[in-house]
Amino acid sequence: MKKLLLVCGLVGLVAGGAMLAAGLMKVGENPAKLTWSDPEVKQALLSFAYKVYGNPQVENGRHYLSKIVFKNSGRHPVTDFAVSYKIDDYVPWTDPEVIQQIPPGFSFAALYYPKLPAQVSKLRNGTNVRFQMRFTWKEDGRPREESYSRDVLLRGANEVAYCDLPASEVESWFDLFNAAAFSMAMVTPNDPVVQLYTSEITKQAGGTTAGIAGGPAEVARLCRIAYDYMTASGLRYTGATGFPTQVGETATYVQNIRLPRDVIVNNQGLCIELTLLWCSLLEHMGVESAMVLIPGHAFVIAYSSQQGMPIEQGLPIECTAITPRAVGQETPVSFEDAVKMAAASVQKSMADGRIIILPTKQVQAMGFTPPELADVDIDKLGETLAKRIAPAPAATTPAVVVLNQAPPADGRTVPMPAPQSSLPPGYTAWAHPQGAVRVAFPAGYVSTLQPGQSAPFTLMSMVDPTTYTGCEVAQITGTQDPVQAFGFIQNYYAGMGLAVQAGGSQAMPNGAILFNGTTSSMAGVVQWMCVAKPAAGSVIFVSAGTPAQNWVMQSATIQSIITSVHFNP
Amino acid sequence: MNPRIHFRRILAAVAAVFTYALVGISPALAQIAPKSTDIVQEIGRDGSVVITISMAFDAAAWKSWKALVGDEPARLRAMMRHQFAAYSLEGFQLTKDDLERTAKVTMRSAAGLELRKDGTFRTPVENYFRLVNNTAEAWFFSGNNPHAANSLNTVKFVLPQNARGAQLVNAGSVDQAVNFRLEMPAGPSRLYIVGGAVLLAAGLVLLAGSLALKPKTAAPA
Repeated sequence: MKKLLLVCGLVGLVAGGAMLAAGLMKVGENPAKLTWSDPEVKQALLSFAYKVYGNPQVENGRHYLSKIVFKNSGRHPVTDFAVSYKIDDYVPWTDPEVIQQIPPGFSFAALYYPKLPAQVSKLRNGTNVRFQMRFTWKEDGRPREESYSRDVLLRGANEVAYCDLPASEVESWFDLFNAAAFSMAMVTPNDPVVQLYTSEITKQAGGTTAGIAGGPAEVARLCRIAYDYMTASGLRYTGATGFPTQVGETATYVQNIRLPRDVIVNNQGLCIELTLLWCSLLEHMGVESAMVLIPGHAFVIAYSSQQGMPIEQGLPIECTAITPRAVGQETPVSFEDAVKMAAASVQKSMADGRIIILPTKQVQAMGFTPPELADVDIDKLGETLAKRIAPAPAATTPAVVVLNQAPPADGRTVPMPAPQSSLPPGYTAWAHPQGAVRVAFPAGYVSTLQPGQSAPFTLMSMVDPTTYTGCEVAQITGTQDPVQAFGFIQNYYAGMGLAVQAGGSQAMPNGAILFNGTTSSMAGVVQWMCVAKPAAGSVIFVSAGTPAQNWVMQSATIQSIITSVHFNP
Repeated sequence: MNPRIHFRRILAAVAAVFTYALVGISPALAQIAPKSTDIVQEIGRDGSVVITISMAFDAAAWKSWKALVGDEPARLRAMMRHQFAAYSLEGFQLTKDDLERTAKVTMRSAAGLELRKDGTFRTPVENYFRLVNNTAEAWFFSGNNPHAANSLNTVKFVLPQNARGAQLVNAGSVDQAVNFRLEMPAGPSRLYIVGGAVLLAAGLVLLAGSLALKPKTAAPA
């Protein structure tokens, strides 16, 4: 008996000791193990919109700077997880965000919304900054640490990118402007410079705006006063200064846009800059405003939803009409005509389908808020504004809301027939709305321009339905570099599965470039010739081509189309 | 730190992902709103959330919805991923029944649950939803969605089996949410330690017993 107890006791001791050791050594267990996805870091930020990136509520939180999905792949909890971030020169290491315990098997995303300082909105040019992230944690009591760093481009304070989609997902004109809401962060109704400008306007109107209690009539009166003030003070429209660019997978059109205060100081602006100025001063006067984007253009709608004037019945204003030549006129354009022009553009774009309307208040309420602005010498600016103004034109007739009028005779965005005198027999001609270029083509050609489907930069597209020989006119705004503009066209069509390749080129005496090339797709190869020439903040391309198998038969026609191209100096 | 699954926003995007051009003048949104929507959010013990949205349409809305969204599933998925990049959406599925004018969208967020600093979990509930009933694992809400023409929406949260102490907090407010904690099973090492300690103690007792027992002496001859 004693021996039996002795043996059992020893066996119990040995087995118990072994199990205890196994338990303490966690034999058979998967210890805590933190794994994570590759950090996803935005490659470029718009510095004027720095407040947007710091707000997790904007557009479902998609404007984060970085995202990492963490997972505890072990069977023990990961403890004391902490993550912090730093942006060199702008954001010091953030206070660590701590999670006491990450359960086994659990995944979660760590998103960083940087609180950038206002000084980033003073960057004149794009600047690369170093972004760092560091996270610490404990796996079964053992402390661990990991860190990453990436370069991030802070765009210049005036650079606006309209698209943040991957190039492979860009399908329509709307996609190219899917991030257009950012530009509404440039509407600054509370800027002292805008306030001063508005007070100058109201001074011209007899010292009072009388609020907007008067409804549509009062909105129209205020808009007319503002328009007349702009005209009288010499505010003028200037050409665009944008450029197509690609950062990482995102191809976008970037435009240099000045804040309304800079437009006021310089007394000139692009169509979108004038629109932002209008939105700013209207909002400051208590009138609601919306920016309207249509292909190649922007203008404003003034409305007052609380006073029986919803946005659908708002007053559209062609902001660039303050410079008559911008709208194809030689004499000053009245406010009424500016409204008619914009109304026609609205009507045409609604039919076309390509229109984006961004109401200032709603978009800014989403989080697209303006940056903090530097102080300026208001007294000095006031003197400058006072010197600009001649006696204001008398406002004798009330403005009229004309949403349903036919497009204006100037046909700014409508193909215009050109003078027929010098055309070859059987040919007809197309002229650029602003007269920048003219081209002749066989009269039997039919238009293939499909609203909402054709490339947004295509102004004209005509084709012979029997041979598929055709010609096109495209205008890439925002650059005067034909190579850069052509690259944008290539990128655009690449997104649609078309490979556009250019061949040899030669300079022509009039400053244009003649080149040829092919466009390949699953449907076949098209061979073409093209002339390109910079024109007023843009590059215009006129091309003529035909399926490769028809080239021999159609080359004479194509030559005649190309030789008919006439660029105005 | 964590993204939150707001099904209303996702639902609005499912319904209207191509109509962002109409911001401000969007009666089109109402025109494509489903007449009823049932949402199920199944929360996994790994922090994932599988969202299933079942929609039923009237004739006109069905036609518009299909033209805008329903017939473009690849594009819908791409736009959803982009607009909801914070949620890491994956496993996207869209099925339609033209006879019944119904559609079902399923997607998964691998990291959709909010992990709070104290180690508990939170899943937000839109403030227009009211609690109808609940069990330990399933929570039922209903309400009229102001973002979808006040159509009737129901939502069911299915919590993981190891969820404990689930409760509705801030009912009716914008911070309305279901909070809970997860009970983690003990690993085998604890079993080893307990078993080893028991065996060790038993061995010691037996050993002590054997030492205390006097050896038998042979009977005198």
